[in-house]
Amino acid sequence: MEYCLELNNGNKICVSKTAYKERSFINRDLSFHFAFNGCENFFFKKRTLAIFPDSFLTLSSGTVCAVDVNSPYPVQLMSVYFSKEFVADFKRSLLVNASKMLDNPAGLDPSEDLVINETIHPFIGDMKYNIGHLNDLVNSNSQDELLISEHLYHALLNYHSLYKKEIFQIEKNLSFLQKGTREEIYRRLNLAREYIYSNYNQSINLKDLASYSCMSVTHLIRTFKQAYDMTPHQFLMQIRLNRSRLLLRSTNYPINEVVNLIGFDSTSTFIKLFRQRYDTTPLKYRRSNSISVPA
Amino acid sequence: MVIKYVTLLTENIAEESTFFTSVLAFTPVGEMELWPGVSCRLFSSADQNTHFAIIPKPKNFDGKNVIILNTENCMQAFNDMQATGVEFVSDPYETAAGVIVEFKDKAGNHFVLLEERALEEL
Repeated sequence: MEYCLELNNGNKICVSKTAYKERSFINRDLSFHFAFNGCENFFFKKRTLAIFPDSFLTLSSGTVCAVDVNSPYPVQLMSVYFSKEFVADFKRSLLVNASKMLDNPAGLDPSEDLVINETIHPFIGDMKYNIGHLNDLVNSNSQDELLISEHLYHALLNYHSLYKKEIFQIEKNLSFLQKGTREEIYRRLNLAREYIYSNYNQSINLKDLASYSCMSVTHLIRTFKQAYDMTPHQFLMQIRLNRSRLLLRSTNYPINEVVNLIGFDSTSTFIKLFRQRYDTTPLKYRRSNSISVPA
Repeated sequence: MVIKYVTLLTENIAEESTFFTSVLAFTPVGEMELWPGVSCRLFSSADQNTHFAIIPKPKNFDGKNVIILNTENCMQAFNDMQATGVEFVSDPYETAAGVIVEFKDKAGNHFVLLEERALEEL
């Protein structure tokens, strides 16, 4: 079951709750995709990416894409499509300072732009709160276009801040590289991250990860560590432990099942790492944070 | 909507902090960047019913104290209150503390509506 709300300003929000879905489409406008309690797979440009509740996907306009969901329980999904006019307005209001707006209301400073990285991003912070409110609004059949548009504007703002923060970190940590090289490294490291995000529950081979990221194994490990202050393995552990928390909170799966689902081989290793990171055991965490099990 | 923090402006933050902790037996509960570049020091009473935010310098609000109100959804509140004629002095904006929007009453008293967000949480 899918419900789409199309606003007068051309933006569109689609929400659905489904255990099974298969669809192909041409992404007409810039879009953001969220899965609130499960997984949705995206296939585009020879890439297979999976989004979970702690991540979201951005797609540029014109991308040909296929999606599927195949889950034992209904997954709540949301896709937000931004019209070109809305994005252009956002760029003007955010990136052009007031005096420029007065002098040149239709113009843009070409050095500043909303850069869309067609990849997976962490779904945390302001974006998570903002999209949560938007989801509540749409699910309550709100027709308040002004309020919905305000949330959409902030979603672009949240994305822009996220991007700027990442770029700032990359520029700081890889400052010894030339700008062009740094941008290319950033692009390839993004590939490595999206691969880990999407395949976190598999046994990830460094050779495959490096090959997907178009880098050598040594180069990948070195630059990943320099850029993000952690190795690809540490990043993988972080994703697995984060996702174990989601499963502990929102399902009744036994610990062994959780361990299997997040890709750990050994329950004792999982418990040890969980304790080290969160200073509590998985069972204690579940007892104090449990929410309703997905229907 | 509930009153979350009563703000106090002070030129001597160390002295004010000592007054709250030593004399009033309040507990320091951290700092919060409420406005860009303006960090408040927070104190709560032992029963957790009263909260103060000590602001180092009266920069932004002509020396007036502000009342910080909590809301679950700042943009919803902004939207609803605008419709009832409340005069806002800003659009909602994100800070390290959460989303904030500021408004005034007819007498010029300043209020901050704050949706607190645990931004580090998953």
